[in-house]
Amino acid sequence: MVGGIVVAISFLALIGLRWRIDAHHAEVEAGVAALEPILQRWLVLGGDVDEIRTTLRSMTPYAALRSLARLATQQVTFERQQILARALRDEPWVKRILRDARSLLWWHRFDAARLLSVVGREDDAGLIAALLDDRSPAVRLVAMDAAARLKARPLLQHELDTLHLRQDAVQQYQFAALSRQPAIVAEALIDRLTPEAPTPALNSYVDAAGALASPLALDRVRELATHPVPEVRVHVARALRRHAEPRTPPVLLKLLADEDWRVRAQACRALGALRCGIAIKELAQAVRDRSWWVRYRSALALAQIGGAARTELRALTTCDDAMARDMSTLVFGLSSAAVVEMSEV
Amino acid sequence: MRRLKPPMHTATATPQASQTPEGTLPLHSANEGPRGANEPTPPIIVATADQALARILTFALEQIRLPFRLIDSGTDALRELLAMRVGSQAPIVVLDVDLPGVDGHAILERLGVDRPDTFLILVLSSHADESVQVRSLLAGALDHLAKPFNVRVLMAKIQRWAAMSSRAAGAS
Repeated sequence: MVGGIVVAISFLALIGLRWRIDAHHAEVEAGVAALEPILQRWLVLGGDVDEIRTTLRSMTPYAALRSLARLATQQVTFERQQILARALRDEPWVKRILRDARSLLWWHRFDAARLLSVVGREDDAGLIAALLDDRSPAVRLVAMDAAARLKARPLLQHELDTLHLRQDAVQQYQFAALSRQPAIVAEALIDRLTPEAPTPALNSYVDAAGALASPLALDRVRELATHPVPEVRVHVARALRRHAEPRTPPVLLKLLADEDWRVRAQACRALGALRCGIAIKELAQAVRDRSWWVRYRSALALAQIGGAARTELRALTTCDDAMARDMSTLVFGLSSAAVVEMSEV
Repeated sequence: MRRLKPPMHTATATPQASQTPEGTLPLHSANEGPRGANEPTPPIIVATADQALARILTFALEQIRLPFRLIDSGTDALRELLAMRVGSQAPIVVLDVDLPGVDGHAILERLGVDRPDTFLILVLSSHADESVQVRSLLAGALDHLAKPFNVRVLMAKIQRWAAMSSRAAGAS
């Protein structure tokens, strides 16, 4: 009897839950359908955001947040999002969602972080910092987007402090978020790119400088090419592929003679990415390297540089070194698009 | 072939379009056309499977009064572009990389081999990576925009290219 009642209640609860999910879904779809044409008019024709504000106000906070977040992510550039933020931040539905930013329920905190990634402003920095340290990884990830909107230095320092603790995929996400404020991130990185910094943290700063392609930060990265730890030199060689500056190729040529094969391979990759015509002789020599990765990267670099480098690569297809011959034959047969793509992975 | 809209759209004057607020995209009367009645208009092909993107591009292209065709599959886009009769004006192609069937890069590469320098191609992609952009440009695209992009900037580019294409056709 009791078992039957429990089963019946569970069954009804499941039906109720399903109904609730469907109702929420329909509500959001209706919200998106109502907001999209208005947002499109604003994006294409300009004008003020009153109509957007009124439309969002007519929805429930749940639907307004999801409609806005979905369309803003798909269609609104970062600069335009700043205009939306100023217009919407003091709306009642926005305040209501943000009141739950410290809720015990993670999905309320998630909603708050998601909303802050569209409407956050400078005085939200404390709230965003708390969300960056949230116990839920989903909330932390969305909070990174929210932090990227602001130019708040404490938030930035906090993100850089914890950069090396993140997983690789999360780090890449964080670099993309940080690249929205390139000037202040580069400034903060320059102070941290010193040989004395702990190796894991230093590696993540070097990667961030490479991802941002900031010339000032990469100048500092270049000075780390003689770092005693091979892992750091690997990261330096990799980051320098984004530093098209006359003083970079000589540094990469030195790294091409490094004792560690990982450094040599990354140096080849960087020389190829920078289309360094002056490195053709050294890259052709590297195709005969004892490490497969160095042979692969150097052959790809020659193909990327093109012209005389490609002629050199063709000459290697008939050379006396069997391994160099195989590698150059393999790479010489690739299309230019395949060379570009394979050089980046 | 399924199209998102009828085959060729030609924007017409609407009260809304003629009451444009200050600082908006330049609009043209239906009689005048974008560059005057005597100048021909190059065809514009928009290849994207992204419904939201198709909707906003439709709206934006209608505002600048340029005729266009929407295609929502890579296979259809490639077939149409390979078979398209091209006059003295280079057609403008807005090509989304993420297309079902044949992706945008494969289309670019095929056009580069079979119909080089025939189209003015602008690539749209969800990826802003250097390698993706370089690949597009090396394969023959004139420009690459990462999503989300500024629609007004895209429309300004299309208008400019359409004017250049018409002038080049007039000169020849």
